[in-house]
Amino acid sequence: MTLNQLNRGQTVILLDLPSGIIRSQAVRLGLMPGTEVTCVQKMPKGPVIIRKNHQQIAVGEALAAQITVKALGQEVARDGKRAQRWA
Amino acid sequence: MAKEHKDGHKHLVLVGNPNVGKSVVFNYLTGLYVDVSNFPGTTVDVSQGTYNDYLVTDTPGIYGVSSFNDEEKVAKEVIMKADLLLNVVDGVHLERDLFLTLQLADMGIPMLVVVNMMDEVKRQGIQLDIKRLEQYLGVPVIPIVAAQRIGLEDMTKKLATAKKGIKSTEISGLLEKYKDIAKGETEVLLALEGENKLPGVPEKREEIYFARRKRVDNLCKEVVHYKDNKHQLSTRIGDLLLKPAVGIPALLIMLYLAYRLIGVFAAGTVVDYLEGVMNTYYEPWVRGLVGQTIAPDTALGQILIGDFGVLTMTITYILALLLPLVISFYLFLSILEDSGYLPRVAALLDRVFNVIGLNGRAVIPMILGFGCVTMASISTRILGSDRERLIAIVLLSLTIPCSAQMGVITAMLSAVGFGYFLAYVFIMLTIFMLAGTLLNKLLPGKPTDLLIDIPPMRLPLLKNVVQKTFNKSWHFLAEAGPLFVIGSLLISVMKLTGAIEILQSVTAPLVVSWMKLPIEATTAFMMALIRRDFGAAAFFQMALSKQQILVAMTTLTLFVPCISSMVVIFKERGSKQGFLVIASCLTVAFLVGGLIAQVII
Repeated sequence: MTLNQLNRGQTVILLDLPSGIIRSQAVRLGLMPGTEVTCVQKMPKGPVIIRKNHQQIAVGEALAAQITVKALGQEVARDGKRAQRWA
Repeated sequence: MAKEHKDGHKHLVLVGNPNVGKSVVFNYLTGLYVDVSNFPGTTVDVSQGTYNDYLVTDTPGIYGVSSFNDEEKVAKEVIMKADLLLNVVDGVHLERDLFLTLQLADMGIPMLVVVNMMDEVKRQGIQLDIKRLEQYLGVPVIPIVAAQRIGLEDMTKKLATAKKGIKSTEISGLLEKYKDIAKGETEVLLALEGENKLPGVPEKREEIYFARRKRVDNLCKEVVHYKDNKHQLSTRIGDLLLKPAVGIPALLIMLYLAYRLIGVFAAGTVVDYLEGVMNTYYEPWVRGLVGQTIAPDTALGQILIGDFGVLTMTITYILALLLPLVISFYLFLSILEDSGYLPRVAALLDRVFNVIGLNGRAVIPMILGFGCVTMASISTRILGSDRERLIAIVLLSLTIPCSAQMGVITAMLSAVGFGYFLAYVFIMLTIFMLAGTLLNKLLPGKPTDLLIDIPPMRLPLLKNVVQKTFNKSWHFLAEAGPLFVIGSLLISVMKLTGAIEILQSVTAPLVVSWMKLPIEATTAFMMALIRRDFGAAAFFQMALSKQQILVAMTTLTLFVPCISSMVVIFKERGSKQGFLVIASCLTVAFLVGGLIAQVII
C-alpha cells in the first residue's frame, strides 16, 4: 500500500521512497524507510498531511503514491487477521 | 556576492532554515549599512554587512547544504568561505532544523548555534535541554528571542568562543580515511555527500543522510520534551484550516479581507489621496524647476517632464501608486507568512495547481499577482522548476488583474450589473484553467512534487511584520523602480517618434470591426501598456454599451501586462520566451475579446 491511500488517523511505517533529489529532501524533513507517521488529513485526490512526532508535513498526491508503507494502528485494528501480526 | 576578506576581518556567515528569524539576527549585528547584491549566475540575493571585526553574510534559508536549488548552491559557496558559522534554529522546530545543524558540525567549520523563538517554545509548553544540546554538539548554544532582542547580547559575547562541532563517529572515520585526498575536511565531506567529485572518494550521500537523520531523531528525544498541546487553540486552528470544509471558506474570507485592505483601501483611498498630492504640489514644482533650463516642448523636455515624463509621471507612479500598493501587499503577506497560514493554503490548493502544471507553492506568486504582476513575476523564482516558473509567468501576465486595474474594473462592471461582473470572473477563471492545463500538457515534464513542512500556527508579532514589510517593499522598489523608469522612457520615445499613432491606425480595424469597440479603444489599450489602470480609466470615460464594457474589460485584463512587468518577463525568461509570452497574451486577448463581441453584440 502507498501513502496516498491512508485514512485519517491511520499510523504506518514508511517502507520505500522514490529515488533522486526528492528522496534526500524527504530525509531532511525526517521521512525515510522505517519512519513511523500518522495521517492527520487527506485532501480528496490531493496531498496527505502526515505527522511525525510533533512535525507536520504535506506530501503531494503524486509523490505520496510513490511512497510505499506498511500499516500499523487503526486499519489493522479493523482487520482481525492482520491485527496480530503488527500488534 | 561574498566579498574577499578585508584585512583583519573574520567572515561570519549566518545559516538556517527558512523563516527562523535569521534576518532579524543579521539586522541586529550589522545595523543599517547592509549591502544587498545578486549572487552571480543566480537570482538569489545575498546581504552583507559588518559587526566589529566581523564581515557578516546572511545566506538564503535552506534545509541542508547541497545543490538542490539556487538557494542551496549560493549558501554552500558562502559557507565554504566562512571562518565561523552562526546557525540559527527555530526552537519549536528542532526536529527539522537540527539536520542542517549536524551537517554544519560535520563540515568542521567553527560554529555557534542560537535557538530562536524561545518565547514560542514556552508558550507551546515545550521544554528544551539547552545544556544537553550544547554537550552533544560540542559548540556554544544560546537561547534567544530575536524579535525582542532577548539573548542577542549574550550571543555577541560568545562569538569568539565558536568551536568546531562534534562529528559522528562514522563521519570522523570516513574523513580520517580520505584525509590525504583534499586539503580540507569540508571538501572531503561534500565529496562523500556527492556534492563535488574528488578522485578516490566514494559517494555515500544516502548512507550519511540516513545516519544523520537518525542522530537528529535520537537527539530530539533527549533534548525536546513536549507537554500535550492538543488542546491549545493555535494547534486546533491549524488543524481545522487543513480541512477543506473549513479551509476553503477561511481562504475566501482571507481573500476578501485582502481585497478590502489592498484593492479598496490602499488602491482606492490612499492612492487617490497621494496622487492628488503629487499632481497638485509635486508635478507643477518639478515642471517649473526643470522648465527653467530645459524647454518643456523639446524632446528632452518631453522625456523628463512631459505627460509621461520620467520626473513627472514615473515618480508619481512609483510614490503614489506603487508604494502604497506594495506596502499594503507585503504587510498582508508578511502576516500570512509569519502566522504559518501559507503552507496550509499550499496544501489545500495543491490539487488545483497540479492540473495547471504547478504545485501548491505557486499560491504565493498567484496571490501576489493581484497586488502587482511585476512583483509576482519576480517572486516566481521560488518555484521548484523552470517549467513551473514559465507557466506561472504566463498565467500571471494573461489572467491576473493587478490591484491598480482591479479597482476600476470592478467599479465599471458592477455599475452595469452583477451579472456582467460574474461573467467577467467566469471568463477569467476559465481562461486561467484552460491556459494552465494546456501549458501543462504541451510543455515537457510534469509538476514538481509538493513536500513541505506545515509549521504550527502562531500569532504574528507586529514588530517582525513591520520589519519584514519594510525590507521587502524596499527591496522590491530598488529592483523594480529602474524598470518602471525604463518602461516610461520607452513610451515617451514611442510617442515622440509617432510610433503610437502608427500602431493605433494599424490596430484600428481589429478593434472596431472584430471587437466592436469605438476607435478610441486603441488609445486605451496603449495607455494600459504604461499603467493598467490608465487603460481601464480611459474606457471609463468612453460612452460604451454594457456589452462593450464586458468586452473591453476582458480584453484589457488578458492584454499584455504593463510595460514594467514586460521588462521583468524579458529579464526572467530571456528575449525568445519573453517575446512568445507577450505575443500569446496579445493573441488570446484579441481573440477572446472578439469572440465575446461576436456572440453578445
